[in-house]
Amino acid sequence: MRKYFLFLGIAFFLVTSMTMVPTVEGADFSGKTIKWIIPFNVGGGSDVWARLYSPFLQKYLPGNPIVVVKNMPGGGSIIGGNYFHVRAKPNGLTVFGSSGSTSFPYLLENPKVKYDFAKYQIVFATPVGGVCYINPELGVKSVKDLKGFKKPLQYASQGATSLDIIPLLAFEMLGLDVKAVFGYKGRGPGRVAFEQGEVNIDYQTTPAYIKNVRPLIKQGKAAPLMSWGALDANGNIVRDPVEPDLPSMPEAYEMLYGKKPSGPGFNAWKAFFVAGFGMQKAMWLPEKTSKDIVATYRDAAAKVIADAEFKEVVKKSLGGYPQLAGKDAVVGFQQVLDVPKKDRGWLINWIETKYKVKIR
Amino acid sequence: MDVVLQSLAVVLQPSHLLMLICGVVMGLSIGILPGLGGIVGMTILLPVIYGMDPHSAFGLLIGMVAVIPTSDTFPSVMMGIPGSSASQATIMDGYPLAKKGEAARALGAAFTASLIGGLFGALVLTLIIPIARPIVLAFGSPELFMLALLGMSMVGVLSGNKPIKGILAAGIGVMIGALGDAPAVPEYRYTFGIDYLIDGVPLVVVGLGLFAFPEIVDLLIKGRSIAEAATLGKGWLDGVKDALKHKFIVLRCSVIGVIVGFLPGLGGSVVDWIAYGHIIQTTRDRGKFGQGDIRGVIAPESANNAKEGGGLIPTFLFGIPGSGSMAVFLGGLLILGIQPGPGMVTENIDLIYTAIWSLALANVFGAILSIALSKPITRLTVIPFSYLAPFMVLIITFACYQATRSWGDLIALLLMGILGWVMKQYGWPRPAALIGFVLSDNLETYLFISVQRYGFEWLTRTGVIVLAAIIIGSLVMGIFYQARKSSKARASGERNGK
Amino acid sequence: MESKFQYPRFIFSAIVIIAFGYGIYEAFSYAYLAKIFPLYISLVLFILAIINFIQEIRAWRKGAGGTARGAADLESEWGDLGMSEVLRRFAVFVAVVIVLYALVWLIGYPLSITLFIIVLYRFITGTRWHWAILAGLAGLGFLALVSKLLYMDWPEGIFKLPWPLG
Repeated sequence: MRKYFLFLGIAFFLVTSMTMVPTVEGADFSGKTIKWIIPFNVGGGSDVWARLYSPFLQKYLPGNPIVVVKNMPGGGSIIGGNYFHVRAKPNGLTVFGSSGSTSFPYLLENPKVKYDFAKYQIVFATPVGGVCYINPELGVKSVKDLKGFKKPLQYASQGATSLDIIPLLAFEMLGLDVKAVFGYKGRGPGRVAFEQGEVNIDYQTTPAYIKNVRPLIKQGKAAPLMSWGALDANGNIVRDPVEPDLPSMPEAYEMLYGKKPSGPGFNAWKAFFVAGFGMQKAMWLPEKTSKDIVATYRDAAAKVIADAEFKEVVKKSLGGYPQLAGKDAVVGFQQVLDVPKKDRGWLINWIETKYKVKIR
Repeated sequence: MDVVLQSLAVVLQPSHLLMLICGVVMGLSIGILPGLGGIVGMTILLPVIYGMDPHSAFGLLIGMVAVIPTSDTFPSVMMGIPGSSASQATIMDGYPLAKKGEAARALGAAFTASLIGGLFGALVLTLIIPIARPIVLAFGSPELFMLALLGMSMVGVLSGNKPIKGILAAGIGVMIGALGDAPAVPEYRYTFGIDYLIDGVPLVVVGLGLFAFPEIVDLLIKGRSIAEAATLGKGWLDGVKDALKHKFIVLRCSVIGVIVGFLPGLGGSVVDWIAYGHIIQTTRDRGKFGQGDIRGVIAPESANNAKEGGGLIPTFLFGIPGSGSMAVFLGGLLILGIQPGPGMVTENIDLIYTAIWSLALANVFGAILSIALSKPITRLTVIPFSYLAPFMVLIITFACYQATRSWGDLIALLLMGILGWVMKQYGWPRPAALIGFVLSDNLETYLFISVQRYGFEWLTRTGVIVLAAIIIGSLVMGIFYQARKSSKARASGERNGK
Repeated sequence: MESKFQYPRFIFSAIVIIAFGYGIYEAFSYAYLAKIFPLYISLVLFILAIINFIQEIRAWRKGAGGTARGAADLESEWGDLGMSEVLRRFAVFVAVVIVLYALVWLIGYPLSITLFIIVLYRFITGTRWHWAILAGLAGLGFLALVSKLLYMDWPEGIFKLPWPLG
């Protein structure tokens, strides 16, 4: 027994000394470890996104530092965001990955939110698309059939303050009578509910749509309506490049009403759309980070996006959307930050009234 | 048939086998350490699989997750501390066996049951793929609510002769589960303004707090070794024979395991209790359960291995995780560039079979390795517990801390631990509390959705009525057997002149 | 079981009643959708808790002894230890854990646990110093290994220590 303990003790001591991290002082990032805070669990969408990016970031950041994903889930990503806000030093060694669920509480003025995107420096962003579809048994084959459509619809929702704001507000603007059934745990269960007939209108992110809904369309069990859209270089909403045959939401609106969408509702929708889809995931540097470091990062990000191997990864696992780095990302996210307070207020009011929830 | 054999050939390639064995070793280590489970294993492996070819990665990941329900028996039997969230019911009879000095026998039975259960799960996975989709689709929210209710009805069986305390304990569990954010509304309940509680108390903390903490304390209080006899009693071969003798129990519970794993929404953490409850309900001579009845070990252990096979079905076919570790596994699929969903059956069928073979082989390797390890590890039950206690504290605090990596975990552990100890002393059944906790979210969510969507007409759906009949049937059976037993006892008591 | 030292049992049952009462009270302030579930469950359980309490008092009055049987939970048989002694030792253990936590708060988790192991080995298990220290280092090595694998940080104390101690 004693010999056993002795062996164990020595073994562990050796392991300890072998795993000591060397610390090297120096310019750029040689020998350094960059901590990428992801306020979500391992295996979640944002976690996968970060893990897909990190080897390439390691390759293109000068000095080839190790990029480590640090998961800090909690409070729907608020805890990780707050941690970044309070603790991240502007030395370029800590970066933050946000997703739609991080931006939404920020936009909705959730009192628990301490983080502030207006103060951080964006490095790059990853868009995603969403495609909306309906049960064809209702007599709808495309968006045109929605003109004057009065039948009640059911939509499987995660909650009135989740990414579902995009579809719910879109439905409202398009004049559809949609009852949101709350409690579903994500778009996956939403899709299953659609297949079961529990709900009859649904949307999926494009990669899931391609793999799982297209077969349904072939079987005549689903009819595609529209995509939410995608951002072009000037920040306008255009058709989703992955589903070019489908109209974007603003287009669908125009098809039904004969004029382009406008007003506080649409302004709010647009801002939330950018935060939730157009620039769903973004990587940030803390406030007060030097211009040098910011430029270095943005440069590296641009190189990553141009990398041929990475382009394959984007196609295979990130939906195939063009990634945005540097200036493009800044311009894109500016739309989110620039939404007038009163339009945001309109949206918050709408949610509070229609769904009887307390946000502020 | 071609694809099936082709995949076997792929899996048997040395490089893939190596990955599989690494996964198995990893799974063994994680299972042996109390409190850790598949989620931790996946967390460790996910960064590693980046860039790997999917077949090797599957070997690694599935090898790991398949073996945890085998090796998690070690701490459950030997210390009454759940090795993972799927191994809690094993404690009820495994630990008393260890106390009698029969740890090796319990382990032998458990590993055999685990092996058969795991293989059964792999088999079912193979057979069921073509028909799985319509089955899963038949379970809408109302049916899932009824399933959660069925799980809750196990509380009745597990409360012995104290039904009120059982219901109360389950209620305590449900309320603790309701802590934190409400399922559909941005409302934080019972959080007292503490940030840690926004997401509720993690399962690891509740499980370890309720079960591990009191056992450690009790052993320290008594001040000796786990095994109350000085020798180790019957060996593992007897355990193997026991499992084979009760092969119908193994099969029945494997079926239960697969079903629970495969239906989204029950969660892997109650599968062992459902199997355990079921076996008690359906046995006439149930007097020895809780004191070292080997059947109480065989039942949960077959179920929890079978559930891993079941859990892969919704994960692959629907992209909906069958359990917490499957949720992380889904992320792994995305990293490998595989989009789960109905498309997998057509595009990635070879991967599905790789998964099945990996599952089967991993169970075999896992069982062999576990049996080999059982002799040295069971020696730990005869040394005075104070040698083990400090390390137990280390492992438990670490396992809890890795739940959310905040101070709250440690404090919650202590509070749950005190609660668990008090409950144990004063006869409040802890299994009931755990079941309530695990099922709380499902009960609320599915009831919610059902009422919102269907008003009250969901009560008249066929599936709901069938399940209601099953629940009532099982409750009645439980009462019936109980009544017969106590009237027999009374009769024999009277005969003995009490 | 001794019928003398049973009052902690009643205190706990009473706490359960209060807890569910609080559950009812607190549930009223939630939005409608968030309120139904906890409210009705607390309501039913509140009543059951009161019934349970009454049952326990009656059983005690009757002087009924005997532990519960029948697959309810693991049982602890204390043998010759009286309940008061058991509770005393329990309180000691809880106090030790609290001290450990306070230590963690001061100097961080890894070092605290190492010291904890060393101290426990020396004084409770009764080995000699060098074995205790070796055990402590084994624990530390384990934590170092795990922190590398899982990219975990440990709770830091007020006095921050270099890796792997902090």
